[in-house]
Amino acid sequence: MPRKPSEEKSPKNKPRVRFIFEPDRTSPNGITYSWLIHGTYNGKEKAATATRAFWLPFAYEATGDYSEDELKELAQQSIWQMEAQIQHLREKFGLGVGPTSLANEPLVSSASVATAEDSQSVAPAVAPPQTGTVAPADTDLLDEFADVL
Amino acid sequence: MSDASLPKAPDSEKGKQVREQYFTLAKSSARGVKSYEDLYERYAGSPNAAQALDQEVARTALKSGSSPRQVIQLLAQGPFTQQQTIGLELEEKKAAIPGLLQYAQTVVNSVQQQRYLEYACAVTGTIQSYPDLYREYVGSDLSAIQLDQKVTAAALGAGENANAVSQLLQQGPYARFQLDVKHVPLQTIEQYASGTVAQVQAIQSLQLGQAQRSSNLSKGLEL
Repeated sequence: MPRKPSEEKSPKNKPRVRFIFEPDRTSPNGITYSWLIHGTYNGKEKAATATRAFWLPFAYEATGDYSEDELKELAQQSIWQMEAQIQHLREKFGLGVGPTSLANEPLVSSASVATAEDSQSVAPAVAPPQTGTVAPADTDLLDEFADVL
Repeated sequence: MSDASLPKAPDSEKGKQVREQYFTLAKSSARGVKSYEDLYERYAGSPNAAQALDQEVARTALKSGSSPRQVIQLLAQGPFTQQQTIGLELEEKKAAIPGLLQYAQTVVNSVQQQRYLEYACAVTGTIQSYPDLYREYVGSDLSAIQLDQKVTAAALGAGENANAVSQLLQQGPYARFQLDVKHVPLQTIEQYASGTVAQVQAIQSLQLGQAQRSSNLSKGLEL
């Protein structure tokens, strides 16, 4: 009999979400989860991170407990997480660098990242300036290297 | 080995200094070598050993506070890179330089990442790869900055100088994400890294002062 999708109480009386997922091991879901859980470090957390990156802002919006600014911050965090994964995919599978909409954006404005787990507030040691000198071009590095070769 | 198969002396004065510096650092790994030519002869025939030597030299230089940019130049005088250019005509050498630079950059980045990873694993009590570490921390600036602070404290505690630690932080998940994905200017990240090191040093000196005061107080009570 399928389990009732209702909230259950844990031993510590915190409501818990029960989630059971048993895909066929040969299916795309099965291959993915099997690799994550048995073939990588902290695989369950990786799966949870991916789900949160996609859907957490929508879920928080549905609770009605978060302001528009907070939801925007959460959505931005999700986008950065997914962009990091896009970068990882590009590097891993040799897809090259694609167009990005984030070029020359300022450093993240504060460290008060709105994740549910983060409760402390630690600011970056130096308030990052909004503008800065662009790193020397690769041609400079090439010249320096050629000079000492 | 004949003179023709040995690398000729660098043309520039800076190149000569870099060769001397490479040799000095390599001597601790290549025991018994008496000269640069001796070092070259030992490693030029074995690309794997020569690359491993480059990694050790890069690690030592980074640990002592050389910037990645300086270490990249240092590797230009390693037996591996020199062996690649020996006997090449000027135009052929020019054509080979971008690939050799890329090799040196890859070595320096991977050594620095490995150094960051070793401290990060020590302070978090985990054993994982750099990509796993990156993915774990990239989702939260707060946790990534806190990790940088812990790594800084550990590296300073291990006797690394402020400059070396500041460079090290530029290979942490926070800095890599800001540089590679958000395309933040390098100068901004350099300021963040040196600021983090200064902040942790200040905290450590405060803690040291408190410990000394506490020690003095307890001595006073004993008397």
